[in-house]
Amino acid sequence: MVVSRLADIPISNELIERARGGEEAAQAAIYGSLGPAVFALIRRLVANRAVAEDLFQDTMMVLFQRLAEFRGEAPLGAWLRQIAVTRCLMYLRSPWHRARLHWDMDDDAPPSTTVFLVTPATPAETLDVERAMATLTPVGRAVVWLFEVEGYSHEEIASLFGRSVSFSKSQLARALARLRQTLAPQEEEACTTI
Amino acid sequence: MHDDLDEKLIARRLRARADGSQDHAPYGWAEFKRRRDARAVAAWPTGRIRPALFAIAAAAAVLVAGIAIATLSHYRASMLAPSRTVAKVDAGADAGHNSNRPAAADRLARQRTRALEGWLADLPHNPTVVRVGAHAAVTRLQDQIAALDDLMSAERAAGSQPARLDALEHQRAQLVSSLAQVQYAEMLASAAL
Repeated sequence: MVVSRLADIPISNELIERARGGEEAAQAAIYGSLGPAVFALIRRLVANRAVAEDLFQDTMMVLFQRLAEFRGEAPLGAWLRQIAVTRCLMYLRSPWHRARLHWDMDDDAPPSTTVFLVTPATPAETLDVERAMATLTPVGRAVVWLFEVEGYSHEEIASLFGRSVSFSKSQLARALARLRQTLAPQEEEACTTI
Repeated sequence: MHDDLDEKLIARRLRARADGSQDHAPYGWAEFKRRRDARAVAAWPTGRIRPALFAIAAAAAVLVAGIAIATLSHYRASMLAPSRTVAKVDAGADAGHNSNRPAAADRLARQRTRALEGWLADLPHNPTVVRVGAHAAVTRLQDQIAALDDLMSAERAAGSQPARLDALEHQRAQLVSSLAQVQYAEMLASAAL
């Protein structure tokens, strides 16, 4: 079971209680701790930066609005991750977004826009994966990320998308096939160079 | 097997990417607060005006329902004394008032009534919120229109005078108009919710 970094970020109960009580310093501290990981996750699922910022703002606002409902059964980061993922998938499922990107669940065509999430510290190996991920459809990318990195099960992904388990499995299989296809020539090239 | 290895490799690289990335929030706490406040301000007018709009629409619905009930009372009074109505209409016909009334105006009134009936027929049958007073007024108006339709059919079958039929037609047009006003007010009130 892979555990995402967001769920690993420790937030003390005392800080949560203070934030619940409306103390701004506590809320700012939680924002500072969880905000970066939340935004990174959202950027993985939604490539467009402006949309990602909007969703980030929504997610963090919901966090503080619903903090009173948080019962502490799971880490705050895991709870927040669920809010962020739900918001992103709602966006991806929205008719507006589908019309805009000609999004089709069963379409194998790569997205028209390619976004690389590259930072100066990105090693060449992961840079290849970034590029390969950018060739996936938004749905394929989301399914790969949720399954392989966030540790969601097929049942959970299917539930989030409002589809069947086989939908999640087939999306993952197609996305991985495409990733292999994209990465394969580079791997071969690397082998011959050595 | 090869595919499985590939998948593991890809997954490992993705996780390495997630763990090794230098994440930053898109903006700091101060900017987050500014955006939150901006959204609250953007949502403020709607939130404040909505109850006022609802109150106005509800008041309009009550007013129109009152007018409709008053019209109904007047109509009932006239129905309770049919002979007097007929006498009045006959007297009017004898005096030549109806003959002076332009036929174009009658045609226009009928067209207006038909248009109102078409509009009423297109309205959704189940409003979001049912207000007892307005709903009762609508039901009573609909019943009265139906009763008037029966009466007019009977009068036509009995070969009544055209003046009498015109008077009934006029009363029916008033009822349809009242019904349309009540329904319109109801629609506004529902939209304001």
